[in-house]
Amino acid sequence: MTLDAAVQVQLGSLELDVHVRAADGETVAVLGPNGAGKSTFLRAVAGIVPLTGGRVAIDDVVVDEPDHDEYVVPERRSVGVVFQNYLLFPHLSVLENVAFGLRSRGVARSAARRRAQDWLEHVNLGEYGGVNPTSLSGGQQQRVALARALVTEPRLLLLDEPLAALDAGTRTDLRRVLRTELTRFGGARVLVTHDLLDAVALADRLVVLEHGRVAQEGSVADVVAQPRSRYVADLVGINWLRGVGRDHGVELETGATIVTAESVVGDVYVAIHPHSITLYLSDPMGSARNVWRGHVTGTDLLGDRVRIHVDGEVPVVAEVTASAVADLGLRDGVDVWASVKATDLEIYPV
Amino acid sequence: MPLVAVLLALVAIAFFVLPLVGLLLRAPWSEIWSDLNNPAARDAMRLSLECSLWSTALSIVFGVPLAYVLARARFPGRALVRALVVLPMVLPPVVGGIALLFAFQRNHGLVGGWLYDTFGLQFTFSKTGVILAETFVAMPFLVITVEAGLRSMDRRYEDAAASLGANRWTVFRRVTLPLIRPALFAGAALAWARALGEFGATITFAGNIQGRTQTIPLAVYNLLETDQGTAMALSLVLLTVSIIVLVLLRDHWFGGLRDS
Amino acid sequence: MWSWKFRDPSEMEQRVKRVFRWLLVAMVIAAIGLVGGTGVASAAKPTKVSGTITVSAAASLTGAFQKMGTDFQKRNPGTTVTFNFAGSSALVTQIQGGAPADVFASADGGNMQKLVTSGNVTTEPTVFASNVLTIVVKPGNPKNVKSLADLATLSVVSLCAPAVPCGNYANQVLAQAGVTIPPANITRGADVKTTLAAVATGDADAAIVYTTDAKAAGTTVTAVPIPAWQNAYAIYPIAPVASTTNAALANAWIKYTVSPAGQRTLQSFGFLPPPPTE
Repeated sequence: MTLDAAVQVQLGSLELDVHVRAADGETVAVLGPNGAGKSTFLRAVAGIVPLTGGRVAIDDVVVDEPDHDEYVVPERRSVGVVFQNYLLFPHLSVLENVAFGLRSRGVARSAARRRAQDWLEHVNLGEYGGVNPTSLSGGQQQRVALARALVTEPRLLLLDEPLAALDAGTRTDLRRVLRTELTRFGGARVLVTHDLLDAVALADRLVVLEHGRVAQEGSVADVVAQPRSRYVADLVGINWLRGVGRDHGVELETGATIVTAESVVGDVYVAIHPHSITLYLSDPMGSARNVWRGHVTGTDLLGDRVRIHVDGEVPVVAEVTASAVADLGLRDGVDVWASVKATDLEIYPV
Repeated sequence: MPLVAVLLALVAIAFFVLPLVGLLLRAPWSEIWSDLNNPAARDAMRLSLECSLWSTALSIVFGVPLAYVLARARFPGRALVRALVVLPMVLPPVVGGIALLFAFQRNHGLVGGWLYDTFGLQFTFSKTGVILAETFVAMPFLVITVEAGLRSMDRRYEDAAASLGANRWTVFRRVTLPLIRPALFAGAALAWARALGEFGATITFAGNIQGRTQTIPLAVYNLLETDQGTAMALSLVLLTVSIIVLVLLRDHWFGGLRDS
Repeated sequence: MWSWKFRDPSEMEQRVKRVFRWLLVAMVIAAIGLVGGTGVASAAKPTKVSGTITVSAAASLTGAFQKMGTDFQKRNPGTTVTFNFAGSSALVTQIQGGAPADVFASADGGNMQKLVTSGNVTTEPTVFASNVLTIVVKPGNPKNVKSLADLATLSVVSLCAPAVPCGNYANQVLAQAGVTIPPANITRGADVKTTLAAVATGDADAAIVYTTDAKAAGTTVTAVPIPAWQNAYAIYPIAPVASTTNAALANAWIKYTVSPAGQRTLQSFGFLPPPPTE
């Protein structure tokens, strides 16, 4: 139940050229900003959008290859899809919704209903079989959608931003449900999302999509530790700089140099987590080799922590406690010195 | 509310209400049953019911696929086809009848002569002709209404159904049709009402034969000079049916006004 | 002579204004002339008729009356005769409903009687023409219709509605001849012209109309005559409508229909002269 999808789609102004592989029992998260082409990719794998080029194979069976005139319609692909807006049929009851896939494949009514009821109980919605889906909450509807997709025992499970339409609290609950079901599901799973938290919680591998192309892929841990695009860096929430390694320093485009612990050569990225940066109101004159002068250009409150935007020779975002902000009187325009230890830098080649 | 608007609106309301009130007041209520009980009236009512139902059925059988093609398929000349479908709605009915003659007359008709010589089929002066004429004017109403419904429905439901394993026919039957049920119902009601009221095309194409082509509107026209009582009674029958159709369609036409 | 070359725009403006002023004066004079003229004329010659009348006449009179209207208006300048042709029974309903008609010409006495009874006609009607029926079929008589009896074998026969004189006459003629055409094969026209059109341009196999209509239809139909002893004799009465506002002109028209000139025209269209009064 593997997926090998080399998807080339031309849809309006979007040019998609993505190659994603997912193995049995593996969850791949496709992450990207809006308009990157993630949903189109998913719909192409499901067969709802035909390819303009490339090849999609499920379990080594080609389901779409325009160059060889191969195309299998969606209803024959054995792919389960969970949609962002649930798409539960409003004119059918919850039970009939879940049984729909089975009935469409020719399963007898009573058998289909029985299996559907089993799945409903499995997702803790056993008593809701007879109600109209529109009367359920978002989280409940998505659970029904999940049951509906899984009851047909598909070979591949695709989830198109399954948590995007839910409020924060429900999202957390449903993420837990998904985690359980995804692990239990035998085949490959592809999850499309714009929320890094989903990827971290549910996925093994991460594919970052930008402007229709793969910008970065790897294990979730690797991608998060070493982002290769501004999008991922912003998503992870770290400082992300690029420069040229010169012995024990990295020269940035701005001309400033970051002192490194080891010798560095070649084009590199430098990632600095905001909490590694310390702010001083005057030149600290300490052991830290990296001290940059700048001024505060903005502050963001995140709970009891504050992110301070510092503009200067090396523009960074530092994370400090709210009490520190109060004590130091950190406001827009205040001159500060930012310092980070060379050992706290994550440096990796471009 | 500006006074001018209210005054003009009142005039408009009077314009619509007066003829109806006139009909209701002048109708011979006490003799309605006996008036409706004569052969001409009974024939007319039976014919009207039969032919209008047949033409509504034909409109559905052929109109829904047409609406589907117009709403979903992309082909050169689609705008032209849609214009052709709308044409009978704006064409004066008599002109529609004449157009049907040009196609189906036994003599000089485009296919009429061939149909008669090969199959012995004659549509002019026949009940089939009535059904044809009524379908010609009524089907566009159904096509337009259903097409609008198909366009406005969320097609992602069809994608979801396909992903669950439903083939195209199952998707159409179990997802598309139920989702456009209100539009389908409204389209059928409009087509039925239009078929019932059809006069110009019917009398031109199918003629005026009692028991065979003389539907209620034709009978009313015929009886106006000789038996006003029956003419008015039949008019009341049509008026009642029209009101029923309006009531059935109130959600479709006035549903939007009732929210909020 | 007019020249569009002006030295400056204001001069063109002046000239245009002057033209309009003269036009206005001319129109006023003409209007006065028109309004006053008729009055003046009628004051000078009391026997001359003028004004407008509407003649509601049976559909079978269409061709003849239209020609007679042109002639009458030529002979009587300053008059306008407008026509309203329909089945006689429809005209009766209209006049009883208050339609503005000055003269009524019917294709039978029955419809005239209705107006007499209802008081819409208060003077003695004059009979000015008569007519007989004929069968018409498709050119060349493809179904080989030779008599009234053959009509019963056809698939579609066109007759006037029973309330219309030609329909009434046709029913009489068929009943007299003992011929029953199955009602499912009879299409009824609202007037004789529509009835004939069903054969001339439509798919009806035969129709019973007046001989005058067959003549007017020319080569678009073939006439199959009905033997005189089986035929019906239609008489055409004409009378002024009581509510007329121009009795003088109405009566002048009626006089014209029985005048030698009018009779000549009627007969040229195939009408028979009115039955002798004595």
